[in-house]
Amino acid sequence: MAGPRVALADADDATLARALIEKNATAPRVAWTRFAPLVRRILRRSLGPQHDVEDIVQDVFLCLFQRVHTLRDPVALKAFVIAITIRTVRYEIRRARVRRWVGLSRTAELPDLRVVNADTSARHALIHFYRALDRINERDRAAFVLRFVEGMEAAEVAAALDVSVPTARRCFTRAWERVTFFAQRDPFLVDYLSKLEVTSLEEPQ
Amino acid sequence: MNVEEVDQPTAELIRLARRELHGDSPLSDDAGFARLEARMAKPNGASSKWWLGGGVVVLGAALAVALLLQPQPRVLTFEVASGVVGASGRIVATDGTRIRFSDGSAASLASGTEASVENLTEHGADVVLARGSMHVHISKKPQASWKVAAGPYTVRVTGTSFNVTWSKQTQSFDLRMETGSVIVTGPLAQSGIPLRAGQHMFGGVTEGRLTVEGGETASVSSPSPAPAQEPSSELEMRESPTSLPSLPLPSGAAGHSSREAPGWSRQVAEGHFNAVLEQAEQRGLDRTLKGGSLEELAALADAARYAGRSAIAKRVLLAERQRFAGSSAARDAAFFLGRIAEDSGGGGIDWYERYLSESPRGAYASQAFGRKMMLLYKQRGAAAAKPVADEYLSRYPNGPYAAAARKLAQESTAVHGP
Repeated sequence: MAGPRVALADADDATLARALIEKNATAPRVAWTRFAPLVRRILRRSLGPQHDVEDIVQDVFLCLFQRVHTLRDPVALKAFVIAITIRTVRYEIRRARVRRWVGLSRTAELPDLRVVNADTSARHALIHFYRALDRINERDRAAFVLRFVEGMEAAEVAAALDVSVPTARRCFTRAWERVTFFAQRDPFLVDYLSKLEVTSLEEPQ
Repeated sequence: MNVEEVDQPTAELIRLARRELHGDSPLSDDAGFARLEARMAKPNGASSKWWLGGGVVVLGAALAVALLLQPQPRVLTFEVASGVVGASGRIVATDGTRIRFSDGSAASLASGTEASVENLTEHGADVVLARGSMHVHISKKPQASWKVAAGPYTVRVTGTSFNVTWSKQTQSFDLRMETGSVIVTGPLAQSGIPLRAGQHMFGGVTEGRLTVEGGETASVSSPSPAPAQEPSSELEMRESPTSLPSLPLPSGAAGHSSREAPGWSRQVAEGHFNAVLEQAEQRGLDRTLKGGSLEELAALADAARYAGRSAIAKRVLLAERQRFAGSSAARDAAFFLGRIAEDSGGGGIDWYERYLSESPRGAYASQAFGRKMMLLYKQRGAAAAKPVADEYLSRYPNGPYAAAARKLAQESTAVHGP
């Protein structure tokens, strides 16, 4: 089995997509190795430092394997994976909101220290930043993360969200304005950023 | 819009997220895939992803039903039977007045007793006894958190029954325990006195003592136990400097016994803002402001600001400036007072100017400059703000208010000429 797997590992996305559609036995392992870090990163950056994303990463791949036959252009496998990830993110955000609403979630106050460094200020700044993100709708939030944190182009964001490019632009622009608004009114973030600014000003001198 | 080109607070936070939130897994690649394979092997494992499509609607409906079926509401409610409830919420008891809470807890008030219920949460409430007597029964629940305030005394309760009386006229306090345990704090019991079933505490400020009768006092859970709480069938504490239970006094307070500092700075760093505020209030805010160390006051001010308790923050910051004038924290306090004044719509320019005169190169100098500029612009227009904008740009060409300063300078030039 090592031969085909090695060959598939070196194959392009289109070949891997076809192998997944044809239910090649080694294809899931190759897809996992290739895309799991991307999926995990997008999930963490979308959901914030207080979410444990490992189970959600697996949800994304289970969905990918189930739905890959609907992929019309095998070249677009990576975009397909990102789109599933974003749908999962939006679902998780909605679910977290409903769970908070009905009083089922206790994760909001449980910081996950595995994914952040020992700098408590930075850790709390990150938590406060994601509290600001919690206050915008899940589509705008996903657009914001893809555009600014992941650094994607507007067209890629639009594809991942399954919306037009102008709509995607409106989403991430609106999200930027609202996140900035909330961040500037969060005393912890104001203090944190002020201290950072002083550090950066003092460094060159 | 490119994050690398935009020098704004949001861009800095995005850079922080990029740096801290990455795609590495705590599991090895093989272990991660083994878990995935195990899930794939489960019957209908893959098809369980129905929720990613229209299933969300079904789940939403199911959660809505769960919401309807769940014991409601999260925050406790209460009703008053056979009593008079005033517009302010004060309950004046007649014969048989009873406050019933939605978790099964209840308080029966003697005729003529005045009480109110405050700070209802999902885990409890504060029952304030203004005068009179009542029998309290608190249902034992995980995380139950109740307080019964009788005059200056506070009875902290989890699950218990007791009778409590407070006389406003004689300033006397009386507590008879039936079941469970409580901790009483107040005059002559600042560090907290634990009481168990069968014990009776009575006394007060006028008498100058608190007496506990019956059984043995329970061990103290507080880090600073009252020194008079030795196991005995009777405990008396007279109001004298030698027998007063001492507080966990601030390390910097001269003339007081030294005890372990409560570590408020650390608690603030860990995000426990309300806990710090609660400890300060338990200790007594006035006392903290007068006797707290600089480090404690700075931490308390931060906790109050972060928790949105502006009134407390303002008092603490003013105390910092008064008691520790000239210190770095006192200078910084001017900036925070400016923020509070600005947020409450009362200006802030004076405080920012004071901060800048005291700390021209301080940690918040660019913020103070920028905020002063924006306030001047809002209050007096572009011409008044332009000199500050020019100075801001010369000092902080890439600062967070640089874009606004340039725009403001251009606007002023367009209106008034160069």
